[in-house]
Amino acid sequence: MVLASNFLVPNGTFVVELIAFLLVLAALRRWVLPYVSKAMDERQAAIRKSLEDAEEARRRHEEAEAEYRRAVEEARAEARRLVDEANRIAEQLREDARQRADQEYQRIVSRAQPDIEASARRAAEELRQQVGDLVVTVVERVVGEGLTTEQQRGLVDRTIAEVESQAASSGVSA
Amino acid sequence: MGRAAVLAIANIPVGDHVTRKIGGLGFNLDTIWTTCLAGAIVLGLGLWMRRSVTSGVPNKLQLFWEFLVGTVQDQVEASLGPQYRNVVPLAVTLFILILVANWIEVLPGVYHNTDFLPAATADVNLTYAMGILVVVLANAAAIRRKGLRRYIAHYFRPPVVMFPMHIIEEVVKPFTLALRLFGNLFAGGIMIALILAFTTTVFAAPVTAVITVGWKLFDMFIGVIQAFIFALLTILYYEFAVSEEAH
Repeated sequence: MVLASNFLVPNGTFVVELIAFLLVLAALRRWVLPYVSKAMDERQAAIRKSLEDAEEARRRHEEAEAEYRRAVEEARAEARRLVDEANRIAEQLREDARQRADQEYQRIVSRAQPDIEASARRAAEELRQQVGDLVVTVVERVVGEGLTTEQQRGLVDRTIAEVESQAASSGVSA
Repeated sequence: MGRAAVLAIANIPVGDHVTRKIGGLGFNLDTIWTTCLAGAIVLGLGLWMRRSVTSGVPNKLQLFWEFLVGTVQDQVEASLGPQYRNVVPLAVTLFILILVANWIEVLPGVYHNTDFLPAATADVNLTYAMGILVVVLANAAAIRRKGLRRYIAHYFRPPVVMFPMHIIEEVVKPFTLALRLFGNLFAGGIMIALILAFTTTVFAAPVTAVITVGWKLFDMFIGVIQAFIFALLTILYYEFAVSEEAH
């Protein structure tokens, strides 16, 4: 056997090597590789899950933020509405108060009017009496004698009429 | 070159194995021993990883396994589709076992193939075994996928004169696969022997050590590349076998 001595020609070792390789293959396939694949798959699943969780959390956060924004917007609108309402009520109260004050003023003024007129009349009457007395006294002093009742009256009336006309021409009223 | 160097080179044994005859068949004990060692290391790494396997934060060993399985899985799914996930253990085993077998040779020995620990992949017995297994499994997958009739028909795709080419292609596949790996590792070992033969007669021992260590680091790199190529070609051969198109 010339060929058998050549190192490029296989011998009985071939069978042993084939069996040895198949044994290693079977052992790795049964006792090692499934564990590696399992660990890798589990890790991948865990990573996928954590990514999904993160996505879920992000979505929830966005929802919460949107909800918060909406609530704030509602609160602002409510606040604006309340302020407007308050302003409107205040304006109305002010208007009511003003009207009441006006009415009260009118009432007071209208109630005081007769008193004022009566006082004015009384004052004019008194003035007229005093002026009359004064005129009579002055005339008696000048004339040196007493005047009759009729004379006194005529004199007083004339004097008052003059005084009144003077007062009217200078803008002063009784 | 001195006489001593010439002698040293002339004495490098090429393709020698520690062989025992059992029932008329030769068994390379060194290859069997290093294959068992490589297999034990691979299983040890796997079972050690399994002790503390977690879907939380993995340790470095688990990270390595996950990287390996993940890369192979991506490649298989990209080339073959998810229904061929059963190719993943095969490709993973090929890669890790070839890698460890290649790296075993890094441990110091005297001459290639009489090393205390020669690379099992530097013996055609292991590489043929793996190469033939891969091509047989790939063709079996093709038959399962297409049915025997369509599987045979694909050898007679027009033009029919290409039939011998298709046959040669299929027959050659396991040998190219096996001999590529064997050749690289075998040559790596011989290079170590050559470097030692040259440098020990010319330089002082420290220089020899530096050059040898440099080469062995390069050899380790070759070991990774070859393991990767073997696993990748396995997946590609599957892809060729099960695909509907001509290749």
